[in-house]
Amino acid sequence: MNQAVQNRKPGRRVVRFAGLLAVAVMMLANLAVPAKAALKIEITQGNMNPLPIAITDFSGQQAKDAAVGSDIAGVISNDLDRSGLFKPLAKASFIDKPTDINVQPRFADWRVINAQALVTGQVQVQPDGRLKVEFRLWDVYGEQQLVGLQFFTTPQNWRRVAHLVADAIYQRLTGESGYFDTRIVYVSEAGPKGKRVKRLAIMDQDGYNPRVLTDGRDLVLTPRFSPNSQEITYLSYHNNRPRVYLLDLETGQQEVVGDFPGMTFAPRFSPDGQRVVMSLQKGGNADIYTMDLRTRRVTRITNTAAIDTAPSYSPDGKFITFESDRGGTQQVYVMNADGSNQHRISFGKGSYATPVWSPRGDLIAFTKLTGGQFQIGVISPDGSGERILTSGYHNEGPTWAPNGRVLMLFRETPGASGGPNLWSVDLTGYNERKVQTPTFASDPAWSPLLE
Amino acid sequence: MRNGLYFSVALHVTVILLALVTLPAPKVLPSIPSAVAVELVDIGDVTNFKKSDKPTDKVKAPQKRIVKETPLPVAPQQDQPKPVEQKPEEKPEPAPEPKPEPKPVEKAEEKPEPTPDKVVDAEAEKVKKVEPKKAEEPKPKKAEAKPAKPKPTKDKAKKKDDFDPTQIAALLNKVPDKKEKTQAEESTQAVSDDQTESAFASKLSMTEIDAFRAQMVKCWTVPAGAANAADLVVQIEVNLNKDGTLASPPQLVNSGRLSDPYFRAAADSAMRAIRMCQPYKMPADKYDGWKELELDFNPRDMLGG
Repeated sequence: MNQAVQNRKPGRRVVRFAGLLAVAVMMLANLAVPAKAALKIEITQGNMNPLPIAITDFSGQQAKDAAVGSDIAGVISNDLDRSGLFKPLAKASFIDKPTDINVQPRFADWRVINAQALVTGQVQVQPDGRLKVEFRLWDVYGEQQLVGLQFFTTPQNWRRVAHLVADAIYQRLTGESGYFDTRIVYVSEAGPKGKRVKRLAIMDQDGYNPRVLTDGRDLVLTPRFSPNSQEITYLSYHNNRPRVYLLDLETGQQEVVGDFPGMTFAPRFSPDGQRVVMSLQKGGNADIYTMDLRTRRVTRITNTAAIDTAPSYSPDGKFITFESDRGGTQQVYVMNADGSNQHRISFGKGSYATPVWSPRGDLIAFTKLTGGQFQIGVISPDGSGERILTSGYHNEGPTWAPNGRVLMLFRETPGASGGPNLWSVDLTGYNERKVQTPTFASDPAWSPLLE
Repeated sequence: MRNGLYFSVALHVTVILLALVTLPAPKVLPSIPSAVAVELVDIGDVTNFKKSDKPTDKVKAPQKRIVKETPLPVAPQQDQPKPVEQKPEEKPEPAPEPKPEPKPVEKAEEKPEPTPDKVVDAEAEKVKKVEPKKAEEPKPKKAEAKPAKPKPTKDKAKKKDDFDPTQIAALLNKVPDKKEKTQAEESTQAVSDDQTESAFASKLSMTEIDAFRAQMVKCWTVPAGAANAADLVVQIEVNLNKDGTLASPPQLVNSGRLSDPYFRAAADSAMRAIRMCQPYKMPADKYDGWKELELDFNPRDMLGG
């Protein structure tokens, strides 16, 4: 710099330039000052193992309370285990035995057995006869409470309270809303093959409290829950003619939906519970109709010479997915709720049937018949990302859990003594579980969360 | 002339003084740590590049799978009559079963020689990849030499837990098996180059960062709900003691979204993982490199579907 200054006439420009250079040097020097350097590491790989969780028996002052508490812990444990996302630890391994849920547990004792979360609770019968159930969910490593809730209920309702607790735990630890406080309506099948008596039945999501709803004189098929969960719509053959019925679960009242000349099939509620969408068949042609349940007005949605059936609304009510053989084979289609913009979304090998829109809206489940195998799969509403979750001799009739993470379906076993049973499978396809029912069972329909 | 020079010098001095007083604008500072951090990673990157060249990420997985492959030829050997061609089809099935796997893998680690021989028996007729296979065996050893403890944990973690994406992909796709082999060949060449110049790494290199990541794989249970949101990145600051334990509770950096249940569950899971995983097995001589960590937990790759 100095040289430059000496060689030239000292012009202001040169000086200014030199000054700027000096400034630049200073700034660089500033930048080079080493500050506290935290090494940044991006973690993109974890594991999908079930979360180890310790569920202690809920304590109680009286022996009777403690017995209920133990039962409640059992139900919670079973719920979480069946979800496939949790691994309830064996009670025998527990070192700490918490008795008072208002005292912080000894977390070190729980870390020893590798529990990541801990559930403690207590049960107390109130002077007015009601049951008070409290629980706390603890983060064993963070040593803090994640959730704490209490419920009051009639003593007979302890099972529902247990499901509610399980839902709260599930939601806090996964971020997803739970689905344990729900019910399943299904078709109970008794008697020898070929002469089955089919009754409409309902039970808790975990298979408990089964109850028969119809007497079995008429054949019943495809029950579906209303989104408000007080009503069921289903198909029943009366005088050998299939009709769509409504059943109020609280009052037990049944009624026929509409009075159509032909046969009506595949009913399903709209998300607001105000309409029923179904297909109406005349000869070899079936089209999709909706009926407003208050005004009883019927609207035709599709009008083709092909068989359009198995309609299902998107959760926002704007679209309907359905199955149609207009292209030669049965395929899944999507259209606007008014019937416009009908387009095919399934293009794989084989035929596709009974599409069901997920309550989360992101996927459509279907039954697929290909290569002699019945498969249950999911596909995006735009037709991308088809994925098969389960495949075998027979799989049919998928229905979604209210959080859109688990599907229930029925699977028939071959042979003279074979019959249909209910199974659940989650979206990963890896967690298949049989659902216990007192008889053979088919056509499950998952209720929304109870209120 | 002289005047000009003095004038120039005086101006220089004032400008520099002015610069000293006014220039260090506060805004500049925050960018400094990240700039240095990037440099750190870059340096490691360079050393690592020499070790295993381009397929850094991909090689890691195949490496393990190849180790796993060794047991597979063993099983058919007991049956003996089975033709060679069936092997690729059988691979997907045995993998999920826990029992057959671990034992052979241990064997592979303890006695590297016998297994390659079996591989020779099985595949000699079909392919001439016998030599690359042998060459691979030394590779894991050498890799383990530096971060001796972390690496094995990664292996174990892989054994136990790796029904994970890479593995699933391996199970589902029968085609990639061939690719893996070719990749493995490439990597072995890279390794032989590297044998001469392995003495470098003095800073926390990619392999050690990988080792850290490997420890996390075991501890971090990705919450299922994360499937809903692609942008569930949880940033956590961690201060470590020299023995690898936490010096202070981990701090959530982006805590603004805790009202979102998905984010809260994701943040909890990351915090749990950090606490659970300590003490971290890190090279003590490079303590300055890892005493402060900023961890970004990103479940994106885990939940591609």
